Amino acid sequence: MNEASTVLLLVSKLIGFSLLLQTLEFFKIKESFSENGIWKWSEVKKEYYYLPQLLKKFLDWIMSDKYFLDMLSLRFLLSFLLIVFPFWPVFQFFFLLVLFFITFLITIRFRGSFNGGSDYLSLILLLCLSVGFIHPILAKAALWYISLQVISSYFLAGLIKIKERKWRDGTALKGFISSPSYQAPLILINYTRDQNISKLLGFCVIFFELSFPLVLTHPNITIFYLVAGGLFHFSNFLIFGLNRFFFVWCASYPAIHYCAQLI
Amino acid sequence: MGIDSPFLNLIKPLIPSWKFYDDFEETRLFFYRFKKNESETFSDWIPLYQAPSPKLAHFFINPQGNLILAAQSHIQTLIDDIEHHDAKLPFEETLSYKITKNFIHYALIRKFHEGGFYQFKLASSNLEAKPLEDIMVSPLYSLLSNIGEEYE
Repeated sequence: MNEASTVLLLVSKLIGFSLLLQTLEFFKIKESFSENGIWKWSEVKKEYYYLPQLLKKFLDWIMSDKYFLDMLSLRFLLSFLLIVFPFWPVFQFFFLLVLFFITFLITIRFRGSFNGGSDYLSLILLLCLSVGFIHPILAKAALWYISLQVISSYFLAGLIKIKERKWRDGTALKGFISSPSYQAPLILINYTRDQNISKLLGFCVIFFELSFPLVLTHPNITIFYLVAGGLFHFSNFLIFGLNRFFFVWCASYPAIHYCAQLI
Repeated sequence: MGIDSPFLNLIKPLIPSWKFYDDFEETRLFFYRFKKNESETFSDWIPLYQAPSPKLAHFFINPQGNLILAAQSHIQTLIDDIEHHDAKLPFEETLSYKITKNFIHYALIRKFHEGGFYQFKLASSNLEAKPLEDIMVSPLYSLLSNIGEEYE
């Protein structure tokens, strides 16, 4: 097993852990996607009227309350196997590919996504990792693709923010933190009432996101950015409750660390 | 900017745009008002979902928190659909409206087991979660049935 394969295996285990937690969450709210819930398949399916008949029949079958829960159980099992299985590329390829299709079907069930960016990055990781297990050369390419997607996720988010006046003057950060949609810690709400503090914090966020490509420049800088990234996602959990983002983004970090070492 | 082709919409999760908290406007929330029976007067408008304060215990498993985040994401989809609504179809027939109604019904049936009557709305909100300007107001619905039948 070469180094790229080792990193691929580590990222697989981390995304497996993340999917395991996500699936447990789905089990806890299973009523919400039943026919007595919010995302009733009998209603959502009309959104997919344009699909071929055969595919629509398949979706009707797999999205029924019973089989959708069965599919989630399979997702739980495969995620667990991904964590515990030793390096055996054929199995990892199979587990990851099936997990990719299940996760894609989940996005369809929730009309695009359940948890936005964390669903999108999960899909990218699963697809790239499965491809990476086909051949060692593809392993390297997969790790590079994952790294570039994650780096661009920070960079593009920062680029969009810096163009917004409300982000530059601190209004946006203050607004999100004090929004009644969330229950951010009171101490943070009080601090960000000061326009200068919210402006400074806003700039810190923008600077961190825009400068994230520097993560590839030096081993010490890599460690700095990955630790900062972990803290950034943890603070997003504390403020907005975005726990899934922490696990999915951190799952990709070994790929970035590996690519940084190659430069 | 939305994607017009339904096929492209299907694969949108594979080509993300990586926009997070980019555009801050006003806060919009779902509000409801409720009465147990016809003779009662309605309660004041109450915010439906507010994310609970995240606790460390929710770091690994946060089902309710993520459900509320999904409701908040749905608000943006609903607003987009209100703006681009084709008047040929009543808005109540659209998927966005149905999911909205399901969100409200799902929450209220757990709160008021004995049933009653409710109305909901999407409105901009101040920092105290009080409604400011209405964006969409629903008809009255009965909470007695499992599907939230229209009352009037």
